[in-house]
Amino acid sequence: MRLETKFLPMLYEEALSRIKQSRRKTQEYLLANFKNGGWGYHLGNQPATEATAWCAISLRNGPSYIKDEVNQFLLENQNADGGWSTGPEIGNSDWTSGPAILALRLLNRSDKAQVVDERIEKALSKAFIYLFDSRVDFFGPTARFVIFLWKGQQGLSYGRGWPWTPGCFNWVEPTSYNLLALRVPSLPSPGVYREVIEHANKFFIEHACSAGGWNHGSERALGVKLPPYTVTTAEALLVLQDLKEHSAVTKGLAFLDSVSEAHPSAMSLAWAILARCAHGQKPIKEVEALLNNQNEDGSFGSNFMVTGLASTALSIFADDNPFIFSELIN
Amino acid sequence: MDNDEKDSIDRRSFLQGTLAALTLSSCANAETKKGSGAAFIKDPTESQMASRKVGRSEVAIVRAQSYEEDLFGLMKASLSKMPVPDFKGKHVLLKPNMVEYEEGYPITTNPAVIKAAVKLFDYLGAKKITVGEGPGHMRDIDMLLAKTGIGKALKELGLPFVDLNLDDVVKVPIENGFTNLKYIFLPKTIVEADAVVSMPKMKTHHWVGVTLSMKNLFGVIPGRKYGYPKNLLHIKGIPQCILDINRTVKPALAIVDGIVGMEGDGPVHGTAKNSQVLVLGDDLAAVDATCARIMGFTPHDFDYIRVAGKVIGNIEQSEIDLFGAKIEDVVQNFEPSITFKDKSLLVNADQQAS
Repeated sequence: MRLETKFLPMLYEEALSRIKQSRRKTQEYLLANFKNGGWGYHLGNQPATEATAWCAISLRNGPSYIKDEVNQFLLENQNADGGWSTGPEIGNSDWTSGPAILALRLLNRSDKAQVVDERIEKALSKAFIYLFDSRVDFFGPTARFVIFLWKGQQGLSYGRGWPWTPGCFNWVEPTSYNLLALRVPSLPSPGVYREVIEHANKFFIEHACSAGGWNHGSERALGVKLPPYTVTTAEALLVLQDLKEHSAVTKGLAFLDSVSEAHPSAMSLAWAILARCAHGQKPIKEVEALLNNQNEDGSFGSNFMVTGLASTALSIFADDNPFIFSELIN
Repeated sequence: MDNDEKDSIDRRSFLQGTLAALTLSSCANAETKKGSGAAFIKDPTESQMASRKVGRSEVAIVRAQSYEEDLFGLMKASLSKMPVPDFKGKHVLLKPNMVEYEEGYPITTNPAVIKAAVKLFDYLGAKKITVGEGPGHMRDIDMLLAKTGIGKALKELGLPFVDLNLDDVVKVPIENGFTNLKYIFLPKTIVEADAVVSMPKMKTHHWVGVTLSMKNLFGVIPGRKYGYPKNLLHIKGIPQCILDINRTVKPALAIVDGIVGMEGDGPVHGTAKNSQVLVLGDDLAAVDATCARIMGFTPHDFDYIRVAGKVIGNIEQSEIDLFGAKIEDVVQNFEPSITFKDKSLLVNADQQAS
């Protein structure tokens, strides 16, 4: 889906031309810094799963060797349990599995068709099982059985998100990343994941701040209400597109709108653009601010992941927007 | 369920519900059930106490009315009177507190203190000075640097900043730890720095009572591995992790920004406290014990400082030589955090996270 860009205050052609120019510069910058099959977070760092994922997603319509080498990097570094760690040989699988799966899915789909490469399909099958198994559950099997006897199937439909590291609590950001990896269209065997998505949606609704929006995932601590943040609110809104009418979503959008002139960073701006466009809004100020945030070398700061994310946010105006979904299963 | 339905719950349903609740409570997943039991630390073993500092400690209390003063000059003068570690030719990593930003709250280390510290270590002969932090709640480091003014200060000084959340990581063993973690991943910059300097804000803290130079080192734990917040470490117990991190990182010095501190609902939503001090020293247990006294508490009020007195350094006043101002001249009565007044909140809390 290509987005309508006429809402930009600049003339349509000029806006598009600026976005294209910006993306060209970013592409050159990212290609020049592509090393060992991926990108680290910063210059001189080892390749990192998340940074590689977002940079590759921003270059999904770029040179084919990027897709091939990033595929290889991700396949080589997938853990036996199907997940990924933050970088090669850095412990157990963690929250970076979401961005890795998202990248594999977006890099390898052709004209919205499902993935066709057998190796990728196999890796994704394992990865989806990891996503399924790594969700937080506050109740063990016995407790779930008791709940089932007590309340029936409905009782087992409680909010469940994902932790940063397995065995911990669920939080807004890892849940957003993992849910996004599931929700982009053309999910294989979609019916299997219906409940997973429903439970994750419930998690977001249960953890919304009373003032609207989301923070890292604690609506209150020791009885004190905590405020929302921009980045986490935008991330949550991006994955809750099927709940457009829900008050948590409308309040979240209102919060995002209230801080639209307070986003000073490329990370905030990029997530806000993706989220607001997904809800049919027109992030005029954010697009202009993001374009103005770009450095001469094409980067959006020293963090390659942020540059990849920013370029991805701008790509939805010039290329396709893979982050649009209106149904529970797409 | 409406009110009528609620009122009509019969005895059988009540008993059924109670039984279910009791069963669920006993069957909840071990790490995610309420009250992890990690709020309090067991007494240390002989081997844990073996690495404690030997001998007396020195702590400087520097009075400073405001951030406009010549903080470098004040710190330099104070340190000239007491023994300090040798920083000549070393790579010094300054670790301020940038945990979160919220307009109007004095959450983060003031840029003026960081600038003064940079001058100080330059004066002390450091070969390289880096500022690094891994904020615990927010991933958006560019926003934090901009809003706190620390980014602008570093730009003026031409100094590099390292986002410790996203640095390359190194697996480091934890020896004789208080958690059951056998190892921890640390940022390469922390592992390779010759000297780590903890630069916290003097604040109350709703989970551990106070956050000072030892708690501040939670921010060296990389979010890319442990998340935002660093939840695994919360589950393992914040007090226990504070001790393990400090005994693993082995910081060289602390400079506590208490010119404007925070009381009440710290570390984020408390009230500014104009306490007008900087506290410096190379024994972080002694520095934190001194800060606790300045805040109107005793070090023994806080479990992790009490145990730090057995495994890290000195916390008794009789073991600490003070330089500069006297405690009685700068003591403040910080409004304590809610858990200080009611410790049962810690035991019953869902999670120690924010």
